[in-house]
Amino acid sequence: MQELVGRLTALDPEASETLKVVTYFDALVAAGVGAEALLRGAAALSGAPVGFLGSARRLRVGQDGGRLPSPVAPPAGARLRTVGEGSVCWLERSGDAHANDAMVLERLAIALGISEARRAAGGSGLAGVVEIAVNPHATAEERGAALARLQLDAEPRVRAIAAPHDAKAPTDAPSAVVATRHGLVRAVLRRATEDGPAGTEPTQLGLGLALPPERLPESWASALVALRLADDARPLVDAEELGGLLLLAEAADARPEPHPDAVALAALDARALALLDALAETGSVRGAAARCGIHHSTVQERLLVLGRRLGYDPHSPQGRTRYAIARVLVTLSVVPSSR
Amino acid sequence: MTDILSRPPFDPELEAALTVLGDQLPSTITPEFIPVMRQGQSGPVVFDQLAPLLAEYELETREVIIPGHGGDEIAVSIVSRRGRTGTGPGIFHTHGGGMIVGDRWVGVASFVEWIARYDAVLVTVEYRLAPEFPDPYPVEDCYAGLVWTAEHAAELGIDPDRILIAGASAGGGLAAGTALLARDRSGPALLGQLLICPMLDDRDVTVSTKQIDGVGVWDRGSNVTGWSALLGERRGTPDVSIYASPARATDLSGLPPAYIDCGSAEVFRDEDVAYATKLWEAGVQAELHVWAGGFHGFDLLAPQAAVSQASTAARDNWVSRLLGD
Repeated sequence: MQELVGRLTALDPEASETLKVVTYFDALVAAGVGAEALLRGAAALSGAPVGFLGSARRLRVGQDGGRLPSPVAPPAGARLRTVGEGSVCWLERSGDAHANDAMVLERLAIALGISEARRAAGGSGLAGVVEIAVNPHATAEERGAALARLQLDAEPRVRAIAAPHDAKAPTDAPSAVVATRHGLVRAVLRRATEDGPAGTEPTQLGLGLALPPERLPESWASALVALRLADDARPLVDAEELGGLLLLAEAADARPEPHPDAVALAALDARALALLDALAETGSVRGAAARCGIHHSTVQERLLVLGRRLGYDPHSPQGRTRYAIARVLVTLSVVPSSR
Repeated sequence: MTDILSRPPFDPELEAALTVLGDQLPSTITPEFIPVMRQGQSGPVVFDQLAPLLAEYELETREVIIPGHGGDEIAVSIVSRRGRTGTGPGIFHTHGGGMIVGDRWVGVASFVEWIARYDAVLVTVEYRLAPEFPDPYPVEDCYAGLVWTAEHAAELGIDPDRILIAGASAGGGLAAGTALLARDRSGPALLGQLLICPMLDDRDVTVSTKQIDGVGVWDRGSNVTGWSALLGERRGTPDVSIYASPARATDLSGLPPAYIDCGSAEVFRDEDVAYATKLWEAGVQAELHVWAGGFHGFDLLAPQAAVSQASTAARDNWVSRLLGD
């Protein structure tokens, strides 16, 4: 009932509503809807007509979700975005762009790309089977059939690898973009004996645990944790090296809200974080002072202030562990993107 | 595995919309939520959203105070084309909101196009809400509004033989109950009853109410909240009239033609299907649509979804057969 929940209407023209856009398209992708449903969603959110010229289809949808005459080409002045080779989608906004237009178009393009890949997978591609292989909700029979198609069923151990959804697909291993609770992520499957994704573009990667093929969902879950812990300084994270951090990530994911320690840390500015990181890594006030180029007495003062904001002394033995865990929790809350 | 009753899945487009909107309110509405919901869903808030649409279709509104149940004053609003003369069909509207929230402007947007297309006059009634005004206030206020509409048909420009009663959700239940009252009190005459996902049964015994518990929109707990507000201790006991809970009526003969729709994944599915079946059994014309994967009110919540468009088009088609030339 509209009066009970509201209505999916066009977004605010002036305020950014990124989370709503991302959540909506992720849900559509997770549900496996087709291109036209994706266009209806984009049209409803933006309040403007949208269109798509794909390899085999031409679609155009009005803001009420109704189908419009099939286009031959995008109209002049429409905002365009490439979906894949030879495919393009667009948003028809007369006048100035609204605050969410670029985001809606970006998510539409990504979602259309996945939808088209799935369509192709119905033929000879393997994207759909990769999704089943890592899906914890698939039945043993479904997974068994998927593994057989991937020719991974006789392998002693395999691993799932998580990469940003916009990273290039490897040519030598099956992969698919998968909807996860942390957004879209590319899943790559490799035999444990393979060297891994050497030679790909510089991007963050999370290597999952090497496990028997029927336990691929577990490997995928660990790969997702590893990817979230990757950053510029450490672009490749192997779940095998994470130890108890995997348990921590599992516990953190089970909470509906972030832990208060992570919230407190995330609220600090970059300079304060850099100082705390320097303290954690060098283990001394003097080391942190040298690393950050400030006098150690200043560091001492700032740590006092920061300790009050955090609710614990990050320099005490207990506080160091607590800080390290909070730091991991903050890192886990964000999935890296290759852009 | 826990013992969870399976239910039809939500339509994927609808589910995505629910993912985005569902955090605005929990699936289960408990009595504590009633004041919160009333703040956001009555008075200027609802009318202000409707006003641009009324202007677009060049419709005007006026308010009249009429005698409600027991002679107490209640308001109705009349919506018609600006500067309209002559006679046309009437639409008597009973709004939704679980018997506990909303005002007479809730849901009127769905009728604006018909008012313009058929040169109709819509009368929407401000019936009093439970729990402050328990049964029979809501349905008797609605009936009083219908009687007033029929008695003032000439001055309102309504053809008294062409009055359609219409409502969604609790408004659908009130429309059905009012139609039963009109039958049993020998008037006013009704041309048809448009029951959009109607709330018809207080007894909480169907399979669909067990399936939709803690999920979707207006779940089992919310429904119990609404009916308990309306009926208090009487809910589920033999001491409930067919006008409050039309699903209890055993004889549906002599009623006007009905249109009933609902989703396959909503609490009201089974009671709505049963009501249509009982109408057919009584020799009454009825059209029933159960939309696959629809939760309660899906077409209002996600109007762009394919299933919502189909639902709206089917309703539109029925009304054109009823009111069209």
